[in-house]
Amino acid sequence: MILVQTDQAVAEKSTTSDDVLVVDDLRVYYDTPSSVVKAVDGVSFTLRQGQRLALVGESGSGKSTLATALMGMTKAPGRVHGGHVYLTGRDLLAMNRSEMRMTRLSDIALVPQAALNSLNPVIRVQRQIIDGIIDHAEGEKPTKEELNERVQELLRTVGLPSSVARMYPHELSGGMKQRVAMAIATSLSPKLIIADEPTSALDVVVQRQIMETLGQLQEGLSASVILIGHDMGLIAQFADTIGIMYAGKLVEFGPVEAIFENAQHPYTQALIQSLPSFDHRLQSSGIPGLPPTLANLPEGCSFNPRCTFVMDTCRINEPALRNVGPGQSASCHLFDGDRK
Amino acid sequence: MAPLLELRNVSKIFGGGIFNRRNVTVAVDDISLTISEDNPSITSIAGESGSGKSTMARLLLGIIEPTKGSVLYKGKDVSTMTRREMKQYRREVQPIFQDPFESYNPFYKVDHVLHRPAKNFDIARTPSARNEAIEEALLMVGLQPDETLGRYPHQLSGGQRQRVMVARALLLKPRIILADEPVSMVDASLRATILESIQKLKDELGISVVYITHDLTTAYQISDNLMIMYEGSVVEAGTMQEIIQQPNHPYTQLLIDSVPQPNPKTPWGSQTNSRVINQGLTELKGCKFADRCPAIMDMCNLEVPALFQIRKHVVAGCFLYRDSKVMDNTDIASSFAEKDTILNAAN
Repeated sequence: MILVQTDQAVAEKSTTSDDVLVVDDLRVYYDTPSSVVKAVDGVSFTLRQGQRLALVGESGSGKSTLATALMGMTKAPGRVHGGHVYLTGRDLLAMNRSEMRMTRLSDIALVPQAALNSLNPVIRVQRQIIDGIIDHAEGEKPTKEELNERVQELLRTVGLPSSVARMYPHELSGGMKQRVAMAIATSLSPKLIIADEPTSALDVVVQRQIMETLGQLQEGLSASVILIGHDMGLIAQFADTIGIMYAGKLVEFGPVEAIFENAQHPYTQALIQSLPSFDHRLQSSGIPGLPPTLANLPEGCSFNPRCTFVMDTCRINEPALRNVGPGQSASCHLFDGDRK
Repeated sequence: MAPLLELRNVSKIFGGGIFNRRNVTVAVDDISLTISEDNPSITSIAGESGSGKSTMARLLLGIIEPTKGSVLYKGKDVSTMTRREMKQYRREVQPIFQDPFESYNPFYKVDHVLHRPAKNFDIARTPSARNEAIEEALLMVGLQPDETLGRYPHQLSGGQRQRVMVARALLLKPRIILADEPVSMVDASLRATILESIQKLKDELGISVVYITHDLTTAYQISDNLMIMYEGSVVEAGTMQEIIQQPNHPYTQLLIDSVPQPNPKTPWGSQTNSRVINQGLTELKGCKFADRCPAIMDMCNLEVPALFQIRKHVVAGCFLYRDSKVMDNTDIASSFAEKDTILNAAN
């Protein structure tokens, strides 16, 4: 296994105060009876304060596994095989359960994919928000009045009327539920918000409102955001940095404009070309072939069976992430000759 | 133009029993739509959740009965069909559903969803002829039979599963396919292949497709005609190209404006105004969109706008266009373009 490391990750070792999250060669594997599935296989990146990173990939590319690992919630048969995750200098993976519990929500919070399923159907919204605060906040227990006030304030910031506090989840629409989930996620002013496809079940108008609210929350807290998803349109509008994941690895990483205008990795290029837009009617037929199954990855570069630029070396050697532009890196043998 | 499947002044009202008169949801509000026989087309029905688009699909499929009006297939009312006619209708109007994961029974191989309908609808006399038909249908959607058959649903990707669903619909030699959000659960890189197979249905087999979605970009890729729904009513209808290039109804404008363009330099439009809380429909007198509309006028709260014929192939239900004449035919499809015009517009 070649150790994949970005230039950023190397430079990072002397953590600057601006870096909120440093992921260093993270590996999360699933043990199955027949094989070891490498869902996240040597991912490294750094996130500055206020940065909005989008992790893009098809289903099975490992993006949700990565998010779960960052939250310290990897469950069997999954396990963190190696690597480090530093959140403001503290190693998340080395924490014990109670430390991790105190870190969740107060430092790192998750906005789950299906808010529908993440809320308790028989408990009022107010209680669900308060439960999170009591459970994860350090120090003295706040009074009931303080808590109620906090709930009202949170609902206001996510754009919900105060009457929602007394409601049950089934009385809310999908967009409102997602807003409640965001209120819970930001209740202890985390430094990092991970949003795992927060709008995948919502329609376009609501989708846009939710993303705008998330953006406002992030700016208000000057937190960093990791947005996980596969809707490139949404990502183009929201993120400032994009990481493209394929078969458990970051294949390209860089500023959003650079990726959209000057994608280097063949997979990223194909992905961007296959996006539907109002500019043209159906022309491209998507990316040929199928997304790989992680249990049975091809030798060499995982993308080689679908790649139009495939060379001999792609079938044998795994490419490493290389610098291909300012802040932009890609892992492809096409750039082997370039400056490392 | 011989009508194949027709909705005639159809309304569907949910709720509102004896004890609950107030809580009534008008999911579909007096809509007439014809899908004609001799002019295969792809018609998109678009709108946000709660607009009634899925209720439309269920009405067209005959899964639910309309509260008012009637659904006709080949001129016969679906509710009074004989068993034999019903079977033909069920075979010739085929659905493709949103979730390619839930359409399968995980305990059966994917062959099951192909063999079962083939058997029930007497697609072929002998088992070998049936297998042949199944293989043909799979090839049609770009799947290799030997790589697909004999596998369990979990062994296929979401895109493959959805294509097997398209193949299943195809197998029954339908006249109409109703696709309810067929690509929303499929990975971006595979969406185009599904859309392509749907387009092939129309181009090569002459099957009309009703494509129900909230995603205007995918609808735009394949559709000839578009119908935008808002709370059970049609707010704009016409040819796809014309509406996308020049949306007329404020709601259509909002929808198109909200689509995130995959280009960081094309920002989202500025306005978003929607009710955060939808309290169900209260007694509304005027236009349903009035409380969200940026161009609201006094008359909007007093009267329901009719569909105004803005251009030959565009109608919109908005008082901004009250100077145009009211659409003379209640059938929405009369605003759609004939086949030749569509081709010309595309070229």
